[in-house]
Amino acid sequence: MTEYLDKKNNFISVYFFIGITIFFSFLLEIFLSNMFDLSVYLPLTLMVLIYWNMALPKNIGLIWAMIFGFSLDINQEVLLGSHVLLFLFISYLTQRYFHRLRALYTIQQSLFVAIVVLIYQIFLISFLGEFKESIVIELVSLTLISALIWPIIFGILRQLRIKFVQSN
Amino acid sequence: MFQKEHKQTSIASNAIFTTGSMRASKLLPSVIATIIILTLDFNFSLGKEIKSIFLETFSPLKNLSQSSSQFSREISLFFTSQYKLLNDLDKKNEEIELLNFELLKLEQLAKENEELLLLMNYTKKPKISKSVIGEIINISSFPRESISIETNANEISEKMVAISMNGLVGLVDKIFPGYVDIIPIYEKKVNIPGLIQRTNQNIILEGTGERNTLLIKNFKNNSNVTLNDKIFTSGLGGKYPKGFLIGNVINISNLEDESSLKVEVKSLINFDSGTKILLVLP
Repeated sequence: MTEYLDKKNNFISVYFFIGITIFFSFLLEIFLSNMFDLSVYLPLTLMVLIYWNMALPKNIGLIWAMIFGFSLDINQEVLLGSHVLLFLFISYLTQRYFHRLRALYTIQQSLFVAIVVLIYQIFLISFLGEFKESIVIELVSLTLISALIWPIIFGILRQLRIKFVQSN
Repeated sequence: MFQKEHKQTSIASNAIFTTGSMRASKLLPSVIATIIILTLDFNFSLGKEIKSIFLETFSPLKNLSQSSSQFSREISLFFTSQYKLLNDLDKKNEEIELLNFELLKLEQLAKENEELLLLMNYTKKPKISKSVIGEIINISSFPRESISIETNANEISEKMVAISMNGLVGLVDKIFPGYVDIIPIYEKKVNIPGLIQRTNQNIILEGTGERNTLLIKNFKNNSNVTLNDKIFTSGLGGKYPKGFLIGNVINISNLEDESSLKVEVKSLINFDSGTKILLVLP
């Protein structure tokens, strides 16, 4: 009888739980970007966003993508909306094809994440308009690192989801 | 069982060709709103104020990461150049310690040379007929004070007396193969012919057995002696070479029979000082 109430409460907790994990990844991204003097950053926020779009597409929506997109724009002092546009398109694609992405092996998912990260970074560099010789090496190495750490992020968030989130 | 497996496979194959419920129409308002903000920021720098407030809010995080990076840089420095420097410093400290040790050895050698030079000066005196140098190898205080001298024992006779760099210190007690034992001049039953420098009066000094203390034997009441009078060896009897300082008068008192005085002489030379001893025969 009260199932619909439970579902509502669960939805709120899931929604904020997703927000908290993205917020922590956002903080970590800022922390790491300030720690290493690089032109491109390790897109942890994007990777966590991809995970939640894949795992719980019904719960996440597009709000978190917009909020943290604007936050990153402000923090990295780029044009307002640069990150947001990319986050929105990536969220849309992931939510649109989450069935297919879920069915992929981890290594295939890592490859998908690497491609997305590479495109995301290239777009950001074009937004920033800063081209240096070293940027190519940084871009390739960070794309590789993203692919390598994807299984870790996936594993951690999956464990957190199983432990704290009861999906509808 | 096979039916279940077939069902699972069909779900998986269906999933690959299934798209999510997200439609482009849902995305469109957000994209349009973002493009408007982007255009406004590009043309009118709309986000300038927001950016400055936001950056100020996040400055502690920035500082934290910067201090972390500084800390990691310091650690890496420590493990590279600092580590090398510390190693070099340790090596230099070891070298300094070795050099200090060498310096101490040289200082000791210089002192020994000085000591030897002083002892050699004694041998040039015409009143000394024979001298043999030896090195102190042992100092004993029980049952009586004595020092052992390593020397050529074949050349030593029991009539010899011991002179250190400061002056007369003792006499040969026993001769062993390779070394000799020396007793101090203040040992009991040791008699030394002396001379009061001020009055030129000959006296006999006798050891008391107490450290650095001697008494003038049979010193008459009417004799001329005052405190701090210097006493030297007179050379009488031929055992002790003439002209060596024995000590100063430190105490004069009457004896019970009142015909004699008790005169205490304090030897100024320590029996066990130095490293070398010259054994001489007048």
